[in-house]
Amino acid sequence: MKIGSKLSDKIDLITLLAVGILLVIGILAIYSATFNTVYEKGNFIKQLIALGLSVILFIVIYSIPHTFFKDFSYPLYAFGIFTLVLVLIIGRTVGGAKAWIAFGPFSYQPAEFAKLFTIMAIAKFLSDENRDIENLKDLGITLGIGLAPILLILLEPDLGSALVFMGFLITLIFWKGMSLFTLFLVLGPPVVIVASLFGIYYTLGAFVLIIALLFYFKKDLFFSSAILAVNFASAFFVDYLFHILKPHQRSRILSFIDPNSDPLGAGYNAIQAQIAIGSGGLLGKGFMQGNQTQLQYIPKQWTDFIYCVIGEEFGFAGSFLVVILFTVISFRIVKLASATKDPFLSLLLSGIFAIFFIHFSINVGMTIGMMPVIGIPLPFVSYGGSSLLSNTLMLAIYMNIYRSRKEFS
Amino acid sequence: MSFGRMMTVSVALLIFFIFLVVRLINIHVVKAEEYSFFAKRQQYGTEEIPTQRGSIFDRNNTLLVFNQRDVSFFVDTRLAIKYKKDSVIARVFEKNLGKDFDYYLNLIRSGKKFISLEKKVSSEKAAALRSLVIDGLVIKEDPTRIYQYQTLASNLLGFVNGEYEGAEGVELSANDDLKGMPGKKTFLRDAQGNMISLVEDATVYPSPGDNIVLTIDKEIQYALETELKKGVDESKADHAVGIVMDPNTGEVLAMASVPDYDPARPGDFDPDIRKNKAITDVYEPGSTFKGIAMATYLDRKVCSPDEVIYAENGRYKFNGVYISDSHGEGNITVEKVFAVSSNIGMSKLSERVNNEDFYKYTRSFGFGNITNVGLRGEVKGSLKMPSEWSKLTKSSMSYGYEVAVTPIQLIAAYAAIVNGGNLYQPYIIKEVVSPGGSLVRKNEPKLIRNPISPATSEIMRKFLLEAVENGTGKKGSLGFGLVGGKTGTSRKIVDGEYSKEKYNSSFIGAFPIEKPEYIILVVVHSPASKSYYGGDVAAPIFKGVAQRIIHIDEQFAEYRDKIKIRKDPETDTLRDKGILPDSIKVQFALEPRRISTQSVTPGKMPNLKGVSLREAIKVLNTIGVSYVVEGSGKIYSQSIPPGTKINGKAVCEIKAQESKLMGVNLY
Repeated sequence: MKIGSKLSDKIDLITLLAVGILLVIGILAIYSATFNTVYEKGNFIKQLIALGLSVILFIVIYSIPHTFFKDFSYPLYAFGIFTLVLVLIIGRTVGGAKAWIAFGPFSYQPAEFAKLFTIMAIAKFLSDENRDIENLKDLGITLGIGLAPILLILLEPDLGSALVFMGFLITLIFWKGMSLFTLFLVLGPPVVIVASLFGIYYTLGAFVLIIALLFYFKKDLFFSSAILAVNFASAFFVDYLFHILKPHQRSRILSFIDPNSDPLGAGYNAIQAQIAIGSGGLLGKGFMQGNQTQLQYIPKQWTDFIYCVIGEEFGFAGSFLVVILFTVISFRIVKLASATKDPFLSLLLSGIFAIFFIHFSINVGMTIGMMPVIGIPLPFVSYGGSSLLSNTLMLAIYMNIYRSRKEFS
Repeated sequence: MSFGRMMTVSVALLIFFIFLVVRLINIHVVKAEEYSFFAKRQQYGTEEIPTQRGSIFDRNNTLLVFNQRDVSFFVDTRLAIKYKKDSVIARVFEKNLGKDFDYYLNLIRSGKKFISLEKKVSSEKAAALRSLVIDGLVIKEDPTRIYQYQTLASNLLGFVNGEYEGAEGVELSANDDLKGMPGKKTFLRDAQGNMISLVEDATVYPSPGDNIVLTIDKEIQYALETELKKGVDESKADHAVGIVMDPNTGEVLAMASVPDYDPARPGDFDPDIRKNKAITDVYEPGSTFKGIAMATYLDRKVCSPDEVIYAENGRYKFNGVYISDSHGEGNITVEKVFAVSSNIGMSKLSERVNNEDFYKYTRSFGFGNITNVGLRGEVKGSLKMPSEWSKLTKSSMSYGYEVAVTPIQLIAAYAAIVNGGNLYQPYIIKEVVSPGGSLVRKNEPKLIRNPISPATSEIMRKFLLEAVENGTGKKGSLGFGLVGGKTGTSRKIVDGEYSKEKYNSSFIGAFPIEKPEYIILVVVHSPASKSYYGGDVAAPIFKGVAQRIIHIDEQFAEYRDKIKIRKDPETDTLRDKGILPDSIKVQFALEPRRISTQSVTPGKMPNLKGVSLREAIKVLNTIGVSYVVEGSGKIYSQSIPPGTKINGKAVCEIKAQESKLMGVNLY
């Protein structure tokens, strides 16, 4: 691949434009959602400040040599773990989770950056020569690096972030080269568990799928039976698992299955979000004209439910655009990750892709009722300085690798 | 790294993308209507805006009935206690309304969910409280219907029920005009249900009810009631009914039943007392009905005024039954038959008219039919068809038995007898006027038919004068040949038989009898005085009323020195001292006139007088005229006259002022 002096060779203009549009949409949506509030009006300004800092951060990270990422992986991971421990000690509790460290008017969410640091550490570990992900010891260490921050985050507790960690952990393992069969072994039981929450037909469907895959992989009868038994056990344990969940988590899962089961409680946000989006119609009610948003039917809409501001005020046109932009960004990162020959950078990019995609899919999914309500922000769009800075950091790393892609292609 | 893995991820991405888009189309497009419906249902609230009930005026625009803008306060106790506002409320109310802090606090903490803290607080006292916003405190406009003269005309006016709807009398009959149309406000509400903003486009403003102008003259009504009460007291009667009417139009000038009641607290009175007996109660009229019979004879020309009739010295066997007169007479003229009220003479003359004619005349005077005076509950009395008559019926009817009438029927018929033979429909509502002061409807005198000729009427006037001057009605005379009238005394029917103790004593008279302007009927039921004759019991009441009218109506100014009012020691003195309320006269068009931006012609100055300042500015903005404002409230002056052509540079100076009397509500 030849790299000239053209701007388009130095920076991925498509991704940059896509992120730029998302930032503008996000700023507008935050302005609209906080306009009629009493105490949250400053959020718009705070987000602009964070945006300014992000630009500086982007330029810095974009400019440094890419070797920095690999060299500092372990120290940064250590720092990430340290902040996750620290937040458990001195953190501020917001919305039931002890997840923020306060600096004057600003607060910092350690989990946001820990995501990236954990990816870097795993990428570094797996990119060393002679690592074999199918080797039990290497897999164990990889899982260990990943599970340490997950455990700390579950102590906050921040279920949403923990899910993101699990998501990119699986992605990294897959990207490193784990066989589909191993992945099937790992992912089978969780799929059965989720399906069984939805009732008997879904459970039966999951088992049909598992049995079909067992035939596909053609392992011996004893091994296959053992796998099936483990999956059965998972299904029967769901009831038990379900009961150790906290009541509000349980009700969230239940209300996802049927939002109307508790329309004023756990299902409230899901219903109101869909009313907002649905009433937006094809072209929306116009900027600042969404009654559902302006009358604050959805609490704290500028954070996790920002997508329904877009859906209500800009209609299908707006929400479809956001989906397109995220899909484009995802494809661009996956493409670069695939093209990059350097194993560390490739793994790092796959992890970055995983973070963006998981945030996007869970956030949009919960807003439009495809997933349970899990409180994680929409990258570049939701209000939140930590989130914006960490997403910018990841975007800058992507651009940095893009800039220097010739060196290892 | 591996191409295969990239493809796996890409395919997964695409599938997810398709899922999302399908779902988005489902929500945004397929279910858009459903979600919009839910959104509107929860975001928009509506509330009724109460309207104002119209007021009731007498014929001279004296305000009789209006609304007092009271306010009631309620407390949602759970809410108030939850937000610790119970003591705040108690303190505010203690300060403004003077009852103890503890009184209010105990009320709020009584354990009931919803309590009424103060009911019907006057607008003045509630001024400071009206705009309070405290959790749990509910403020409700709770107007009170004020009957300015308390019991005056109560049986006629009626009252309103708890829902502020007319329940009886004029309030009921004219309810459709009075009630108005409540408005509806549509507002946006947030997730907590708080009202955020009004939606102007979807808000319908209330249109207040129309005002009713009665034909009643409040002064004459007062005169009639005062005299009736005095008469009932003096004769220890059960009750009495009186009507004053303009015989030339059918306008009812006064209508009263005694005893009366207080329309502000109708529940405290027996429904029978609340009835408007002038239209709901029938009685056998006795000798006053001789006027109808005599007018029939004269109009049929079956006798002449001077013809001599033998009156049988007071006892006469007619068709096997004895008829008697209270004063036996021998040979008397027809005129005298009427004046001394001879039953025998009337019976003999009745033989000269056939049944059908007699019935037809009675019927054409309006008996046996309601008069349509404009009030609910009017009855038609009873008039038998000739086919049902016995041999005695016609004779009995000629002196007022075997026929039952309402007072309003009798006075309407007598009006025709004295006014030249024109039967007018009596009426009680003169005009319906919009709150803005424009005429909605006007009732004109309605001639129904001419039961007798003008010539007959002229003879009848002479007969009536004679009956007062030299007959049974002497006590009804004002002197100066002013009054013509007829007495009536009839036995009441008690348990299906004619009573020997209970009578109806009545008098009907008109004055000045030459050309009658007033006709008055007085019916006293079951007097317990020594004499029960109409000439003794009812005629003096008539006279009292007539004397007072002489002092009310300017056209009788010349008689005022000679005809004095028999003052009532109680009520009249109170009134002279100003203890009884005096008249409130109100001009119409006090309510701001409404003007809509649609009705304005661009380029032409609209008439803004009487319009509220707010609306005037809206209109001027619409047509693009600059303005200078002085004062606030309602426009009373505009520098560019209405209809003037205007150009872009025009500056209109508008002056506004607060009207002391907002609408017809006095507070």
